[in-house]
Amino acid sequence: MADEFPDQDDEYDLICQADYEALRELEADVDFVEEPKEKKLRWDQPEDVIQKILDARQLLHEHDGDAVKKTKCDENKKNSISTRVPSWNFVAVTRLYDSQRLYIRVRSRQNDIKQTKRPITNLLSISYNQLKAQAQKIMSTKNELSIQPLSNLCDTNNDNTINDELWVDKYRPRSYLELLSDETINRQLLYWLKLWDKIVFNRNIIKPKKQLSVFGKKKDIDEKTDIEEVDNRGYPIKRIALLSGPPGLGKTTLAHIAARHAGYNIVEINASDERSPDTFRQILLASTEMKAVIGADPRPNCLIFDEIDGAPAASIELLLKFIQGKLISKNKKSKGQSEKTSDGCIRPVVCICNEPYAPTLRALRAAAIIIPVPEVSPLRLAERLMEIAKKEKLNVDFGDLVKIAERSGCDVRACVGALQYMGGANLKDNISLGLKDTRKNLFDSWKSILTIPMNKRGVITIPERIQNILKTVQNGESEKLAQGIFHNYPEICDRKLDNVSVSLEWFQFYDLITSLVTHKQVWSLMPYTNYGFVAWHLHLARTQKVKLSYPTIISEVIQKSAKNIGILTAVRRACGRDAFTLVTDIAGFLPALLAPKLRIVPSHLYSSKEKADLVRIINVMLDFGLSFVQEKNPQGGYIYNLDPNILEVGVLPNCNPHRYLAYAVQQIIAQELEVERLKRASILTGISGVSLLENTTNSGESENTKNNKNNTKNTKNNKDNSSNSLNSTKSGKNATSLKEVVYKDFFGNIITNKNENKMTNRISPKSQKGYSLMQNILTKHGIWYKYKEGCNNAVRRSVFMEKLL
Amino acid sequence: MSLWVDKYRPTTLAKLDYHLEQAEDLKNMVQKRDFPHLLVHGPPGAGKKTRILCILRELYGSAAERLKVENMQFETASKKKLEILTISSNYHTEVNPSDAGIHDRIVVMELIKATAQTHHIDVGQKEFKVILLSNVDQLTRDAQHALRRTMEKYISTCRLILCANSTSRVLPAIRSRCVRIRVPAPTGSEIKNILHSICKREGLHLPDEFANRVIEASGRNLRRAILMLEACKVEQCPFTADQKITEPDYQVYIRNTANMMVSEQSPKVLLEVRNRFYDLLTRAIPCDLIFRGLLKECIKNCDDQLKREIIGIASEYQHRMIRGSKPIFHLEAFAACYMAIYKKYIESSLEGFM
Repeated sequence: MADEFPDQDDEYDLICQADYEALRELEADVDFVEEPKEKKLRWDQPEDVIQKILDARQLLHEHDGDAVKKTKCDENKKNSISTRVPSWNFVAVTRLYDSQRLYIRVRSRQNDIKQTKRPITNLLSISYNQLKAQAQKIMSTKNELSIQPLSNLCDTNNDNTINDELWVDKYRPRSYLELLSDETINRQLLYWLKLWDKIVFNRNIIKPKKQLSVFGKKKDIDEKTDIEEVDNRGYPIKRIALLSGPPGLGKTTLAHIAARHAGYNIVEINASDERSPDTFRQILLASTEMKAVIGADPRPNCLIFDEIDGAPAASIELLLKFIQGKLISKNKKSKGQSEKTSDGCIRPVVCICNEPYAPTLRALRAAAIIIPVPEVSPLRLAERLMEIAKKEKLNVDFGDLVKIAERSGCDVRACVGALQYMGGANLKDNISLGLKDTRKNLFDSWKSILTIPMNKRGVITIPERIQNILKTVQNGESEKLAQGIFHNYPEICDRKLDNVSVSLEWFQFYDLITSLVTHKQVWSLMPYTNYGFVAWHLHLARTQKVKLSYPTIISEVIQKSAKNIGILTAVRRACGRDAFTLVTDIAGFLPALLAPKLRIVPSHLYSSKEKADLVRIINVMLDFGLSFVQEKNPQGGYIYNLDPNILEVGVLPNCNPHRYLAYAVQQIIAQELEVERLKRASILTGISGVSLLENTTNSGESENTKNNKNNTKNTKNNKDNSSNSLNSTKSGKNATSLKEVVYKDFFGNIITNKNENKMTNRISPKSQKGYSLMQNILTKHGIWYKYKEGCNNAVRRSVFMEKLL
Repeated sequence: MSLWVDKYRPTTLAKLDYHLEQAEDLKNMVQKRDFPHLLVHGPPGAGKKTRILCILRELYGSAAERLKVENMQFETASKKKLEILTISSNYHTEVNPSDAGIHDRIVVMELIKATAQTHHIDVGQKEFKVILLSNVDQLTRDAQHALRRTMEKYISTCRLILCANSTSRVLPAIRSRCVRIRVPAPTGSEIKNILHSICKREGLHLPDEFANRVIEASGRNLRRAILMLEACKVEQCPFTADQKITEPDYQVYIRNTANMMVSEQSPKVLLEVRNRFYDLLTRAIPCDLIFRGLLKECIKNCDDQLKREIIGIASEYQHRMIRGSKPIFHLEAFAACYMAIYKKYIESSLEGFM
């Protein structure tokens, strides 16, 4: 079957494609003929374009109003549906209720489109998109047409029953031009989606050529004008778009339509879907790396995460990792993902949320382009409602609709819902039904608390203001609200300190009540916190416009103190004191105690006092479990930092002048510290006795120096080496000092510039004893070693760790 | 242990330097084999912990000095895991339950039960173990109530030594179950003797004047005095009478903050002061110390009438701070209130001058 008859959809597609091709040529002609002189609108002049679109929308509405289309549709119906196989191009449809096969005409739409196109010629720099939108619209109306007879039938049977489809869905915008939201916002999202064109459509070879070419044309302009938004590989720098705004403004609709408009297939994940990290990963991989092969829609996917503020934090982290980890994923760091995917996230991801400042979204905010969806103007909303009402043959007053729009806070969904619910019957009386449980966002609430509201007659009376504030704070986020006010008031309050101190007393009151509530669960006190906001409003509010900022400092403080407490716990674990003494006494003195006056010379040149200081500092550091870790500073050099860095707790800015150790001194300390630590560890484990320790420390130390020597060794000539290397050790043979003998024989080198190399000399008096011990071992046992060219490990033997201590 | 504070810490009751009579009493108490619960209280740096360790040593001998640090895990009713650092020997366990915040009740209960339900098997030793709870005054009321009954129930196998700075926040019920031992801060001359003896053992000469200044700066806190001396020694080795005394940063910082409040009164300064408070709070400086430091500096150039007013406000605000949970509100409220009052005071005195 399938072989004999080509798939109908495919055929249809082909026909459409042919149509489009024809259209484009035609359009080019039209352009040329009709408006040869008019400047073509550019993508980079949004105001003009927006104006054009708004005009066009106006025209479109008038168009609808005239019901021209309706009649046309009726007319179409007559000669475009047939029950027999017709002679013209057709699509076969099976009617649901009686399985009757219908054949719908696929007409070349030149005539139609010419009519509808005329008012909106040359809107975008690519007029094709609009044509396509129009085409889609007509297609959808046609689809509706085929269903229409059904519903008409129902309606005629019993006129009063309400169609069970929600109006919200029924009148959902189906094309870009029908969108109700602000044009700049729409364009912003669409533009961001367009940035993906290069990645998405260049990569897709299976993609139909028509789209590629069209988008290719578009892409050129993009690259010229907005290079900075795309990185060198053609990816948009911000790989996620985050749409935010109060509910019911059409964010989801906007995302869907814009994505479809830009040529994507939509994969939506919302709160009703499973959103655990595992499923998240599956969906991410599945939807960004695969595409429908069999289905009717060969377009690439665009992910839409709806209601992302409710998703678990782990999932959002995963999403971020997916987006960012992919950026460096050439090294295939990402877990368990196939190698094919290592080119990064190659599909646009749109996230939708209500509250962009939700704590789980903090990381996402940084990585995403945030597009706030503003409220629709009540008038425009009312117009749309009027339109719906007209279509549904409701008799409503425009003024009432405006009122309903205002009351609902311009929530489109709520308005349409209310309209359907009341059926226009007695809208006037029940206007309060349009009022929903409004939730203002934080900034609006702060603003309403910190500014004195004005109306035409001047300042609003105080009782009214109090009512307003109480209403504002009733939605329960009093913690955040109070934080915001506390954070913002010093910027805005005038110079009257009395007011400030009174309102701070209210903050104290607020704190008392909230701690009672949280610690003792005395929830009955909770309502009293609201009066704090009234007091703050009365004392702090100003008439001028205020600039507000988000209280990020709170979370910074929490982070910082958590870090410091971590440091303190680490130190406590080592020294076993309680936190109070550590903070108040010890941390305060440690900066001074850890910075003795040591000269920047090799440690064996230290005076006895300095040596004692060095031993003391090492002991102190060991007592408190501190060590020096080498880190790279921003300038590229190396610095030593304490770990755990208790100085962060003990040192405050601009207090005592603190002396810090020089880098070289820190280096000496760090080395000595390691030696001492290993020594203590070995004492604890009881592996080695003291005598063994003493001589092994020296061998460990000479291991250190070996590295220095190795450099010089290579420069020595072979004769030198061979002559010396075969000698077994004789202590009195050379006239040099004891130390020199040891070094020389051990490494088979004659060391001339010893002093420079002995940075790591032992400082304790024990070392002298150690050297003689070492020498004894060497004389007793003798060491054999031979020189190997190209390999600078002159001596090879197995050494146990304990011997290096 | 290489800091002087640790190095010269007395390890037995006999070696204590001051409060000798009390030391004698403690020794008698330990030897009588009838060892009650103890509540040791006194200001920081007075030697509470030293005395407790001496008692432990007296009880169990040097075995009590072999310490190990470990993390104990507790689980709250809401399945929240808590980790508490404990320091323990075979015979005693030291823990600071207030580390667990509002869950300290669980720690107290579980720890005492776990310790008290087992006997140790050493024959020659005392038949009870000791649990040392520090910072009892920071325990929540719940925890203290939980402590009350367990103290009596397990008295045969387990004795408690409670350590607190002040008894005012310890429930009377607990106070009455313990023998209270107050360790007052050492007097200036006692500290001076100790400093001198340390210097003698270190082979240093300590000028008398300098010692007096250190004692003055330490506020009769022996630990701080010794640390200060050592820090000064690192700074400049042969001591001179007029050498600079190293102070902890936070004290200087608090003083500077207070001076800012005195020198200018405006919301702008208030904002700066707030950031400084945040700096202090993130470094885990106890907020009552901040309060005290501020007050001390603020009232320096006020007349008596004003002093009384400000101290009244400070004490009230500090009280609220302890009952509340966000110290920053209360600190800033005090700062603002002080500024408002002080500004008025300055303006009125200027008018009088005119």
